[in-house]
Amino acid sequence: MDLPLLPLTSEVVDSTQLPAESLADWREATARLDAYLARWELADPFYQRLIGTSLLALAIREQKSHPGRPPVELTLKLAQEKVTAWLETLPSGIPEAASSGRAAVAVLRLARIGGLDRWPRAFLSRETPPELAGRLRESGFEAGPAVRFSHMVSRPIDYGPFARLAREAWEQVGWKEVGAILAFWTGVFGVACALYFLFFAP
Amino acid sequence: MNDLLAGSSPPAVLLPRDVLPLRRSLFFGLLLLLVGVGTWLMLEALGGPGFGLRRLLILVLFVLLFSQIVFGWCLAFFGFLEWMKGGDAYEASRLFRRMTPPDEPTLPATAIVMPICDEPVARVFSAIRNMWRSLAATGRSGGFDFFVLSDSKNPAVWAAEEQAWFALCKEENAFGRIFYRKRRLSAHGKSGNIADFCRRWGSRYRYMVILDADSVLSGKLLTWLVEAMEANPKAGIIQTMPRLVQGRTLFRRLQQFSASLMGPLFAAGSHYWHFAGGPYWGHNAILRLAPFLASCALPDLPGPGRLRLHIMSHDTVEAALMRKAGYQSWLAYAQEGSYEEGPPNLTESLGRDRRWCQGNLQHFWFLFAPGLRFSSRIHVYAGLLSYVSSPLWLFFLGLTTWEAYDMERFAALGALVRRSGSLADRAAAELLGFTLLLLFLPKLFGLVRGLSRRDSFGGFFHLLASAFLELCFSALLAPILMLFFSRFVLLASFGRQIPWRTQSRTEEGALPLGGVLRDYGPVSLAGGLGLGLAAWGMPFFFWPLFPILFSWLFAAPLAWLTSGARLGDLTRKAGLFLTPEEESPAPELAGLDLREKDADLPQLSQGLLSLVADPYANALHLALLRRREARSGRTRETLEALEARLLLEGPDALGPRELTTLLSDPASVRALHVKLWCSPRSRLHRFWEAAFARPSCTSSPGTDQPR
Repeated sequence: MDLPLLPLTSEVVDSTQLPAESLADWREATARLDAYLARWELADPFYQRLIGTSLLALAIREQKSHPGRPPVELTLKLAQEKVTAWLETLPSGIPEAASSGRAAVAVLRLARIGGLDRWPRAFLSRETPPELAGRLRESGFEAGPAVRFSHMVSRPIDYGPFARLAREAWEQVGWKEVGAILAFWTGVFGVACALYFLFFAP
Repeated sequence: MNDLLAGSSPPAVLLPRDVLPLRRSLFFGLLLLLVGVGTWLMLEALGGPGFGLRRLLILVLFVLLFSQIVFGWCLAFFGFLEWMKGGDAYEASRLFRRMTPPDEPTLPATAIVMPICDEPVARVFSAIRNMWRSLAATGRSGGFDFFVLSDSKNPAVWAAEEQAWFALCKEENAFGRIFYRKRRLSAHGKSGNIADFCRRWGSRYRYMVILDADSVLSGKLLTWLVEAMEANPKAGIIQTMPRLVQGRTLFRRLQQFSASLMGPLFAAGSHYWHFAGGPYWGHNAILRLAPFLASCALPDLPGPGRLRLHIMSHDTVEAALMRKAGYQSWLAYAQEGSYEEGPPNLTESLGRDRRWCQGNLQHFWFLFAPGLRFSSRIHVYAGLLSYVSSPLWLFFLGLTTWEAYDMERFAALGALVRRSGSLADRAAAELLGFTLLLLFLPKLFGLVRGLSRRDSFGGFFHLLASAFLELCFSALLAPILMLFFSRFVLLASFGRQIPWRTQSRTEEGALPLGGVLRDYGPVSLAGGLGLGLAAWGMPFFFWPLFPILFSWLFAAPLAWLTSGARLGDLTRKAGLFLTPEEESPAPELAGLDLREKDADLPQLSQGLLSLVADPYANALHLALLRRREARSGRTRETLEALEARLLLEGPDALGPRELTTLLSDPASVRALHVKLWCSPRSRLHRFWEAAFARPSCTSSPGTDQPR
């Protein structure tokens, strides 16, 4: 563990000197930090507690230079920065990737090999155990095989006489013509009805 | 995975060229003969004074509709004959002999593809796990890769799918063998999803096995399918015969009992006449990828502008195109190990039929397309008629009722001598008897076949009782389906588009009574009014109309009663509607019925929560999002506003599209994770509180975390 635990212990003890009104916020920050570290599921709870204490101590020290920042934000931001920085030091095999992408792949490789189950004390440590580094390099992560594009395009198909008739009908008769024909036959029908009712209706 | 497209081909399987013409002439000859007999009886029955337009219409409709009944009967009859003979000598499993040594661990590269869209996550990945293990048990899983191709629109389902995929790969040590892909744009539904797969990875594989979200294939069957394709280089498609399984509601149990009893006979009868021109149902089948890529891309349908539609039901068209390209399509109906699930209730079944109806109507254009094989046209025609026949039956019923009314009126007026005991009356009675015989004989064939293995169906008396009750159920259901199918055909003909939505597979609880009354109330009302009117105005035609009108009256209770799992469970306890698959379930189906207990809903909310809160799930999502260009300033501002709303107001405050947009942006996904952990509780919606509990407290039984 490379977090400065021992020199900070006295500062942690000094936290009793924190203003009483901020203590509730610091309690929330502590609980949140515990929950965050628990998400990493380190196989060594004692080590996890040590990490938590160190990060909290660092956050308390940081707070002196940023008095306006809420303890939760300060503590968790600090913890996440430390974690991201640590993940980027892990062998990923994709040096060209963006920082967040590299960290994400490192997390997945860790998950895949159960890295923090077997080497919990490697978490946030500057030194990566050689066996862990080797396993990380070996383990790949791929959601799909390498793409090899194929040409698959539909060919026009001859649908036969009905489709030809339908197409020609659509191509040769516009809505105007259809409207004119409808109007014409409506007129003829109307005149026929009028004639019937005027002259032939019983 | 290796490129095997250019591999050397084994010699083609010798096809029984002399047998096929003989079989087709027997099959279609008998069909024509029976249609001829029916038409002659109808002519006799219509033999009154004059032969006007109405009678001509009745006769034309009769020939069309009667031929459909006879076609079904012929399928069952020839299937029954084949069964009596001990099976078809030319069935695919007997025809295609093993070409690869049985101890060869690696078969040619084969992709097993499962397109999904908002399906129950636990069920999907449990099925993949079972198939993976079943394949491993054969010792010949080397060439197989699995692909889960997601088009899910629900962001919570998306998140849950990713996490379930990672957990499965880790559990089975299957990284690099089970793949997951989520499309950004889900164009053209399932067929578009498969085409997208083919364009990306199709050239890496020689074969592709296509599954539905509820499909399961045994490892033994999968290896056989590949071997069969290897044995016959002209085979483009081999379709298996999926057995309906896992039913709990009465509706599903009835359907799976009926399919188990009669399905194999119909399939054998179908294979009898089509041989290498068999059907393809779009799932539980293997395809040869090279000709599929070269020839089976779906064309647009004819029509101007917006009417130039994409084909909805792709399977029949793909089979027709495969046949047109010179490849065969086989139905391997005798092979065990292929399973699927049916719709849980009548409403879901009708929803599926409405989509199929529109898809099948689109196939009209292929009836006349030059270059298609005879068998492809018959499949298209049969698919078309399966829905178009409903409005035609309705029309036929109307015309015959009108005809009967006129007859009676003229007789009452003394214009017509009452024909009781006449030749026409006798012919009508004979025609009725003949039709009933054609309708019910297939059921009898199925029953005889079932009795030969009665222990698998619960024993002699249970099988008899089940068959009788199933007969009553199908007799009640048919007129209801006729009415609904008529409506679907009309709606589709008027261009009403139907979205291809996901079928609900849940079996918990019956359909809500309000919904049943809304959907089936008008049908029941029409049945009641019809019965009243027939009794009052046409007592002479009451009994002919009674079976149809009574089933309409019974539509609402039937839909409601059969939709619940309780009645289904009771019938199972009573030993009714049992199937061989229920009596001795395949190991590949183990655990798939537990998904109801898993309760997908908690899993879904857990999936979204994990995606944002859990560093592993968040990293998984980020890694699966392919690299995107940086967003412009304005877009970034919009996304940041959405991020803030999601955290402050919870997931329900955002629509699915907003949530999808957010979760498709890597910067937002990362930012959400950071902000969630850094925000005090007062600035977070209570949905996120579960993120700060210990992980073991938040995960539900069905939840798989990617660690």
